[in-house]
Amino acid sequence: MIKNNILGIIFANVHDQLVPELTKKRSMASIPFGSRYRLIDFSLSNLVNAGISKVGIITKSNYNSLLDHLGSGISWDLDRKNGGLFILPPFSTSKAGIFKGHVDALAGIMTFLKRSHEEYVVMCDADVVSNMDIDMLINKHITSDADVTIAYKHGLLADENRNTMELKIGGDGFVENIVLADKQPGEIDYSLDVFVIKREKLIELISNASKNSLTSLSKEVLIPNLHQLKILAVKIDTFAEVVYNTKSYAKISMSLLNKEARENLFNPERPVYTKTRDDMPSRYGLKSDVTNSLIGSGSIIDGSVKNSILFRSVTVGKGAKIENCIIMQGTKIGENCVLKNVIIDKSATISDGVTLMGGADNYVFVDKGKTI
Amino acid sequence: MKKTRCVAMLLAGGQGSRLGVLTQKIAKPAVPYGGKYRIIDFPLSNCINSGIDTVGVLTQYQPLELNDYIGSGKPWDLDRLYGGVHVLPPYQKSKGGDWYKGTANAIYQNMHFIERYNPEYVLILSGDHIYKMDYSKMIEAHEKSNSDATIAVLNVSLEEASRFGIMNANDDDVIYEFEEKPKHPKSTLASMGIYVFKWEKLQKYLLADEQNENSSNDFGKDVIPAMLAAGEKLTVYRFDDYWKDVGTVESLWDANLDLLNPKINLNLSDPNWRIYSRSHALPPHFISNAAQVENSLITDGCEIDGKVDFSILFENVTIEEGAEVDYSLIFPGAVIKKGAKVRYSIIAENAIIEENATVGLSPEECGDSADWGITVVGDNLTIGKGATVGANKMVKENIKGGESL
Repeated sequence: MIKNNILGIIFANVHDQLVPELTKKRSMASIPFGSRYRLIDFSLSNLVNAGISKVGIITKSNYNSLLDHLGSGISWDLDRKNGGLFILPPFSTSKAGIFKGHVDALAGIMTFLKRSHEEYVVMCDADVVSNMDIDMLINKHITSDADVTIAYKHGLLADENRNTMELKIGGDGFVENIVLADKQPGEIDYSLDVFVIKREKLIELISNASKNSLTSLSKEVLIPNLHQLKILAVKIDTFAEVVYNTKSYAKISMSLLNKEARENLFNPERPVYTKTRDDMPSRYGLKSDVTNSLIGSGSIIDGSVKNSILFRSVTVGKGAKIENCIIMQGTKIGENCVLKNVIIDKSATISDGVTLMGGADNYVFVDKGKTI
Repeated sequence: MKKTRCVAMLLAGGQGSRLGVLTQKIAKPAVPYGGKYRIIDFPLSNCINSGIDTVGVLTQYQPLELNDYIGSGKPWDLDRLYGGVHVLPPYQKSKGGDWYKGTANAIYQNMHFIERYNPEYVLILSGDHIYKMDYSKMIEAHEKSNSDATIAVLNVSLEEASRFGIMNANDDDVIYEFEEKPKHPKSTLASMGIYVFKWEKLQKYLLADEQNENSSNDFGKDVIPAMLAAGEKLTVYRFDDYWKDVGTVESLWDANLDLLNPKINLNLSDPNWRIYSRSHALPPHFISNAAQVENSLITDGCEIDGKVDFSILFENVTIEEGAEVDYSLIFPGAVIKKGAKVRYSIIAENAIIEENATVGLSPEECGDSADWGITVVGDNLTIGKGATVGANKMVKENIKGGESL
């Protein structure tokens, strides 16, 4: 059923700086992922699969590729008369300049929030690769009468500084305390930064916070107001991984070579939508040798590919040997190349006979459009 | 009134009975092709690539899936403010209604649709061929020669000629005679079923054809001969690129495997002449450690654990460990279970080949070449564990475990 009562918001540029190689020419939201997707596809599909048909996307910088990807929103069924897709570029006031955190970003779209008529807002960050049941999240939010509902995951947190919220959850499922989790040993309950909140409540919180020029949703709004707010925590058991840096990007990508992970992320009940391209199916040549790899459409493979992720329209020349690589759309690998532990951005060209070797946890990175 | 230069009318009503179980529930133009396409993607993509943005699709036989597939025409950029793609089924009129009696009658019944666009030319297409063709060049040639009708022809071999409608033309390409499947062909110019007419002429001959009680209301059999007899100017337009009729199981199989032949010019993702299709939200395909894939096309959503050679796997196909697929087409959603062997076969949508079952035979295994042929398993059928289906079989119902056909 279409839910006309829920507004979706996605933050497209969150933590761009954490993956500098991949965000040089694009936003976090438009980082290519999983052979045919962009990171934003996961959040956007989660919202759409919950029946949400109005989604605002808050952009900040480098959003050319994102606009190109999203178009009218038709691939996500978001080209709508009522609602649909709203791209919300930064609105800079002479006083504040461009926004820094979630709070000033939301303050920048206050007009959009006020003009919307939906009762609830679901907010997510574009840096989470997930397939989660947002519908369930909304229902729990409504029945529990919480002010804010946060989706969380239980597990080890990568040791990178992202100011992730660690939730201390009481027996009733409500949050008792929030701390910023950095380099925490052991498994914790950490926020996936997917929030459900009443629109009026969000407007109230953001209006108050922006009067004081606050920027951080966690540090400056949720933590200080912990005792005035009823915050429900909802555990997510399906695929949900946060991209912290290039290393974690590679790790999450490679996890898709595991069948269980794939079934978890690509659940046919909640398909992941993306912009369609009219490529042929991938063509495997005589003597091609591909094992344990995820391959996008339109690729032409004449060489050997092992434990790798190939995007759409990649060519692999005869005699080439590719192992533990992530090769993005339109890249051409020449004949007899040897590539191991390499991430190659879009439309690069690797000339015949080139050898590139990275370390197991230290990928060699080839920029978009580069020729080697 | 806005004038449209050319309106295309695509004849998509045929059953395609020679495709047997493959067209039991769908019209021929909706038959899958090349991993992710359907046959109708070719004329529709050719239209938009040729600049033709007004297309009527005449449907009659099992139209549900075809209508659904065409939808608003968005995948082919044929969702237009003016023009666009329109599905035209037969309908009831105040003075009664009729099914489409023949190709010409189908156009006759939809003359008011063409009139809405007030075109100079009408392009008649059929929905059962695989080819990439720039119709705008044909229309240009038609205009330049000031013909009343122009007919696209392909130069075929003399042996093949007796299977086609043959156009006998003078050196200036003007047609003096048409022969349907001649025993002793005088020329080798075979009609491709693609016609450009001056709209005013076509109108005149369609009205006359409808009055003629002896007519079978067919373009090839009635309208073209009538125009020739009346001394109208009919010209051939020579086409010399890839073109294949996919009216039989064997030609459908052949045309698919042609995509694997590097010597055949049939690049469907050529940015200058792309073939569009309606695609689904499917994950990329996965090739496991146990898999071995050579000489094949693999489409989104496939999970491959077995051996695949010289085959085309459509969307969402599963090949389990130890299964072997050779020289076959596996349509969307089909599952080939552990240890099953599929050779020289077409496995239709969502069919299941259970463990250790064998479907089809190679010509060598078959021995007697007269008995050999492509085996077809119908959609949503199950071939039970260890069952055997030989060469040249058309499977229309489930085969129980251990049984042979």
